[in-house]
Amino acid sequence: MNVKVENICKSFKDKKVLNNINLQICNASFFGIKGNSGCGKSTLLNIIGLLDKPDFGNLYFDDISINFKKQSKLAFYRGNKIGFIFQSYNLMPKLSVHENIMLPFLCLNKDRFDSSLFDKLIETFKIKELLYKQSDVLSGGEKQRVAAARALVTSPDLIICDEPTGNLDSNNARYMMELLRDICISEKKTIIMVTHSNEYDSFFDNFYSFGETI
Amino acid sequence: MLNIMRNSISIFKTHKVRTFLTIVGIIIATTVYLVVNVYADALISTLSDIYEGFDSHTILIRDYLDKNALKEIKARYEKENYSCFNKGYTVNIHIADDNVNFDVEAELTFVKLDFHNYSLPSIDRYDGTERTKILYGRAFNQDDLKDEIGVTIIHSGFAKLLFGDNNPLGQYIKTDTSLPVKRYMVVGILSDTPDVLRTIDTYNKWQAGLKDEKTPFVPLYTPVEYGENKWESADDTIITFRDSDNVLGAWYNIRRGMKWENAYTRESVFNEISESTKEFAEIVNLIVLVIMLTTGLSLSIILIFSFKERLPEIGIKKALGANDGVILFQFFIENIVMGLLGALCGLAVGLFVLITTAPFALQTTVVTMFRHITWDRLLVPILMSASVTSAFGFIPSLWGVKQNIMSVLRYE
Ligand SMILES: Nc1ncnc2c1ncn2[C@@H]1O[C@H](COP(=O)(O)OP(=O)(O)OP(=O)(O)O)[C@@H](O)[C@H]1O
Ligand SMILES: [Mg+2]
Repeated sequence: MNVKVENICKSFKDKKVLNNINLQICNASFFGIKGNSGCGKSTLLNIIGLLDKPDFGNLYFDDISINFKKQSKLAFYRGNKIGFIFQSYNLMPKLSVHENIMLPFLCLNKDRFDSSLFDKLIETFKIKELLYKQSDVLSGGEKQRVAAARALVTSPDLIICDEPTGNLDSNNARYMMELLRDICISEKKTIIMVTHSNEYDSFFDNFYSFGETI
Repeated sequence: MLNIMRNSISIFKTHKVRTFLTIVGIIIATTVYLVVNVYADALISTLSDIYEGFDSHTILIRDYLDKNALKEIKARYEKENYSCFNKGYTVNIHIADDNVNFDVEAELTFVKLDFHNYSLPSIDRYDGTERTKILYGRAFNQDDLKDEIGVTIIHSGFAKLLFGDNNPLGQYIKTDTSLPVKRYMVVGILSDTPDVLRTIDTYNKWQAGLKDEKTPFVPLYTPVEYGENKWESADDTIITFRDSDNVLGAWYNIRRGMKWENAYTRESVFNEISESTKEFAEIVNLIVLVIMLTTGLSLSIILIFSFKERLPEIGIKKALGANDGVILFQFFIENIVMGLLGALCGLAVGLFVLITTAPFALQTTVVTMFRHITWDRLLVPILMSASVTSAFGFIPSLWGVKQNIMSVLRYE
């Protein structure tokens, strides 16, 4: 999916967080967003992920302008086109890992569950033993992997990751990066990822740094 | 759909206290509703059963405890001109032994035979007093009053008891000499009333040696001269139970042609009791409704407070693509399941209470009790609690769903 961000502005009260952001992200590319803590990376991702609406500016998916007022359309995109790996995981604490991964299907009216994909994700994210554990007892890294599996289980065209490696050790972090890159290349998915380190620059096809212009 | 149900049940684990409180409220309301209404139904039907055997024109004076009062009545009965009764009387025969040797112990029942004494021949399929069918034989006619030997009409059950397979018509029944007529010839046979059947049952037990049963008595209908009609309506009829004072009081007042304060007709007694029973049930139902509404309201309040902790859930689901309808539907199902669960538990508790208390309650058994547990008594609380929980749960759900995703996700 092509994503185009055009003149996006967003401020909280009188604090201007995003100021005229313009991005062009091509289909099947691995796009990085970098910047210091508090510079507005998550805010931008939330807007692209249709969780928040900009004060000003336009967002295009495959050249289709997104109308931030049409709630049902936004919900459709969120459920069917976008997979979001949250910085704070956003797992349901009292539900098991299995229930959490299945949660997207509960939110959609139609059942698109693909059990082979599910098994593959369980395998790649090494969460087979965790499946029937309650989510709030997991470690940060385990939660991160469950969150990633949940984002990918619907096979979305656009994958948005907010620091998906933040709680992983360097081996696992690298493994996650390779995995995302594989998905990007083999399945032609667009991936937008936020990070505050320069360590993974080599993985990105392109990136945007806050405080600089491209 | 099944998924959503399973999910909503798993949600209950997450919100144990809220679910528990709501369900307890519903259980209480449902139990009270079921128990009270079934008992009220049972009571009303038992009453109507008791009164079924008596006609509204019947003065029923039975089960005297005071023998002196009886004697007094008897003496007056013989001495006075009974024109105030003017319609007739019935003699109750004490069945003394298997020789079927009757001796009248007391005049326990007076039956007002009214105009039908005279009009009976024209509608001779029915006896006017009991409004029961004359199965065979004939009704009374005017000539019967002149006869030396009295005539009588009895119920078929008694006829069978007294005369076996012989034709009862033309047979004689002997009674105590103190009565105006000593011998009564059976001229007609009436169909049996529930009361008659009960009496026959008692008689059979009595025969079988179960002496602790009350002595059975047999109503024997006889015609009496029509005098001045002082009782125009059935409302003047009197029923008195067990109390000899009341019997005397009734007697005096009847003689003076007055309406007696404590006099009731069968209908008025029945209506009064069933009315007050219904009223009681209605009041209790009102209380049940209040319990339901308070439960619903507290559900609403608890939901509003607990929604703060449920907001992330809404946020996550929205972020994963659920639109408002899906989330509302999930809450709706969740609340309905909760209501149904409470109602089912309540019905189970209610049934348990009914079954365990039925044997100790007046005039009821487990079997008769079950007759009154009808479908509507079960369905009403189920529908009521499901609608209360879903309705009261809806407003907070709507509020939660309308929140902005980001502000909701930030509650974490
Ligand atoms: N809802 C909000 N209300 C007020 N201020 C907000 C809100 N959301 C974000 N901010 C502010 O906007 C700024 C950017 O936040 P954002 O979460 O986008 O930062 P970030 O770049 O993702 O940082 P990090 O790397 O630490 O995750 C921060 O200063 C934050 O305090
Ligand atoms: Mg962030």
